[in-house]
Amino acid sequence: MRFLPLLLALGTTACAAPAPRSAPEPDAVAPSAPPESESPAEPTPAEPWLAPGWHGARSDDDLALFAWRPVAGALPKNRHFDLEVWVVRDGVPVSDAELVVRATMPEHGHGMNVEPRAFAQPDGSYRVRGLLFHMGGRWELTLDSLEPAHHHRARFELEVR
Amino acid sequence: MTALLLLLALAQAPELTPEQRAHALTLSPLPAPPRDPTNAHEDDPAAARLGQALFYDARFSKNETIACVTCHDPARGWGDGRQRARGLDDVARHAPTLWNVAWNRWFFWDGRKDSLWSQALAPLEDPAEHGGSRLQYAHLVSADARYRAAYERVFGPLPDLSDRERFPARGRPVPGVPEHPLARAWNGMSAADRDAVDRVFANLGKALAAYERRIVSGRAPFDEFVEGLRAGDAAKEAALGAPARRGLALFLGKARCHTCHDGPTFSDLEFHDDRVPPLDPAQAPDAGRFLGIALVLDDPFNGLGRFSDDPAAGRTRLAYLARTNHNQRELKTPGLRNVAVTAPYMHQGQLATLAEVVRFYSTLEGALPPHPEERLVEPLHLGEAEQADLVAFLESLTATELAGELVGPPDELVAD
Repeated sequence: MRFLPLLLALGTTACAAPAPRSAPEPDAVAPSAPPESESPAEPTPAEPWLAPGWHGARSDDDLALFAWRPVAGALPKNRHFDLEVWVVRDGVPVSDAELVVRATMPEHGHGMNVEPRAFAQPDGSYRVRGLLFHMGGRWELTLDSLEPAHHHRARFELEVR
Repeated sequence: MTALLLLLALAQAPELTPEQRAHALTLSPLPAPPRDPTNAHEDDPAAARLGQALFYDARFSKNETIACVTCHDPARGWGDGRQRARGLDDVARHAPTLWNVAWNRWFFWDGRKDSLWSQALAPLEDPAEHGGSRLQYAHLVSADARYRAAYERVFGPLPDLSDRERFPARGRPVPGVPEHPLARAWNGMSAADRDAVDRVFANLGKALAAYERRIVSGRAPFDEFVEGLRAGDAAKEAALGAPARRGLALFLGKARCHTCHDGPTFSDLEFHDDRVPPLDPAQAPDAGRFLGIALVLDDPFNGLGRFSDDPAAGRTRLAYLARTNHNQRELKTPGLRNVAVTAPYMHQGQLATLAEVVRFYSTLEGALPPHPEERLVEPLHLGEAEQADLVAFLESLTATELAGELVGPPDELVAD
């Protein structure tokens, strides 16, 4: 996979209506926790979003940093997967936003066949469940962080093989 | 002499680009079928044997004339060779092959089922297919000593269905038609009794799935070619003649077939608008996946339902499904292994031969207009020779050998 952050010129937009916080995960039939091997044993660094293996980019308004990585370590082609995501503004995690994650294939004119959902985690990050890149090729991943007074967006260009 | 012919053949074949070569390696071999955790019995040989018996038994239909094999005939590539399937009546769509069916993520052309076992239930009650009812089938299994023994060995005791007041001879849900005799019989039962029958019905589907997941294609010339590619063995690479090798280069290159027909089964397992017009020009285009999503989410036998053996696993497919207007006319991408023996093609068998399929995608003559933003299916502008090469490649995916005991009803239902 290649990851090419795209810095597109979309300005910050203030939202008139308060955006709901990304919901906690439902208890019923909740997917199991990631295997032990997916969680490094070493202590969590003070700024985990800066650790190796994270893909990061500034938001279009340059006010926030988005960082993400696949829970299973690699982006799979045509298999469901989850992401871990941090949204950081002024060095502090934005932990109570509504996080919307979408992806499209610009050359094909379609997106994913799923609508992933983000769940706020106790450490201030988000777990995004239900992604599926069902075709190989160029995908554009868009992350939107929605708060009552802020809307940050970052886009990432991905080549899925 | 053989070596000379080999060299000549290879000289006429194009070199794959490094990218195409790497891609070809991902298409072979066909791995073991993926697990379906919603069916705890899928790898139980006894369940498969029961399913095999059910598959060939026409008593599992309204008038004892239709079996699964009627539309999924091993002698016809596990299809029926017809444009639209025909059970008790004409069916709206073409009967898809069962080759490698276990790899599917979704079932039926519109994906209205999310498991092989759940799929197997629908034709049994479809008035145009088997036309029977779950109560009828539960009674049949209960009354037949061989079926009863086989069922109970796999799934445990059958419920006592002997009280015909509680368990009428026939009955099933008929959505939207409560006055239907079958619906009246069904709705007159207690919820607990309906649940007991539903469980027997679901288990019959799980047995059928245990059988059908064994219908796996063999080692095709393409697989031998990839083995050669991987090992640097020119003799194995020669399993693909020059036309098929040129076809492979087109498949992975100019023709872009791999965009949708990817992975070891040559399917992305998802849905696209192929732009093929309906068989009857007066007919509205098939709504396809747009309706299929609503149906699978509403299905009591889906992976999240109470008959699923692992609702958490079922959740993965269903919980995040998106449904938009883009899903209109989308139909499932069929796999391509053994495609040369499964004519006719497309969701209503509109195209009779592989040559016609390749010609359609080359010209898009008569095609439906695309979705406003869709740019996936566009004319390929392939020449006649290129079209023939592509067909030669598709034919190289043929390997129809299957263990003899998997074809036809089993000799014994319960092994000693």
